[in-house]
Amino acid sequence: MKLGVFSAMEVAASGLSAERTRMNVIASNLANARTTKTEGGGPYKKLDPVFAAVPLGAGTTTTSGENGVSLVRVERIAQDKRDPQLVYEPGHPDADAQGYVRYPNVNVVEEMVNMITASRAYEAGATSVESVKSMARTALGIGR
Amino acid sequence: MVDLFSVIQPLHDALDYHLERHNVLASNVAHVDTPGYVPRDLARVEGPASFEATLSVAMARTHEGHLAGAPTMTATTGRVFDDPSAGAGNDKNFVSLDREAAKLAANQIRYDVASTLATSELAQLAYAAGDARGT
Repeated sequence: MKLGVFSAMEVAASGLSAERTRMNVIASNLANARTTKTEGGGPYKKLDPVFAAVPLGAGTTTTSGENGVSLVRVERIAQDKRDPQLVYEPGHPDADAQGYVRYPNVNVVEEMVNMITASRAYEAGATSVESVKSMARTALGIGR
Repeated sequence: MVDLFSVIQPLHDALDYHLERHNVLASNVAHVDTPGYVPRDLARVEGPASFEATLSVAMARTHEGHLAGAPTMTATTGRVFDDPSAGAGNDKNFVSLDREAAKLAANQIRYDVASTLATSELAQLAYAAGDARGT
């Protein structure tokens, strides 16, 4: 697929969307940092979005990926495999026989770092959109 | 003989189309939280000939005494289609705000291009009409 004038905009928009999804997942992890009950039983498990690169123009009639430019797609949202944190709280309703409560494997500091990364990545994407726009407007000014 | 405004007409159509598309995209943004909403987009349709084939919205005259119905604006400039390629959220809403914003921005620049070309074309005519004395 030949790259159009506004392909960069489409690519950047897919990145913005993906980062927005990441932000949702982080918010969910932070909100459930102390959730001990879930539908599947056991404590809440930290979620991680998995991003996949999709060649621009895939699914159209032209052969995909020949220009090497890719969109981002959120492939799935996976559960973190780390063990839950065991905290000794005998009075807690969800404590086991030894008095330990299984709290989610969410590390709040880690989530905050991810949150900063996500918002900076979003800013970078928005800046690239702005820059595509200003390039187009500069082109419009040629010969004036 | 070449019509004075023959160059303007395609630009006129382009401006119409991009304005129309802006409205469609703005409506998608307005529905960013509507459950089950699938965003729409406007595809450019070439000329009035293919318009008849794709979408016939013009009123048919069934009696000679009837006034000729004017086709609606949408009919002449584009064809509306659903665009669910962004993927749905939990509420089956397919609108991606970022995608729509990017489309809006690109569409606006295209509108500016057409408008700039039309302006310069008209300025040339005005220059010629003024015996090339300048503005």
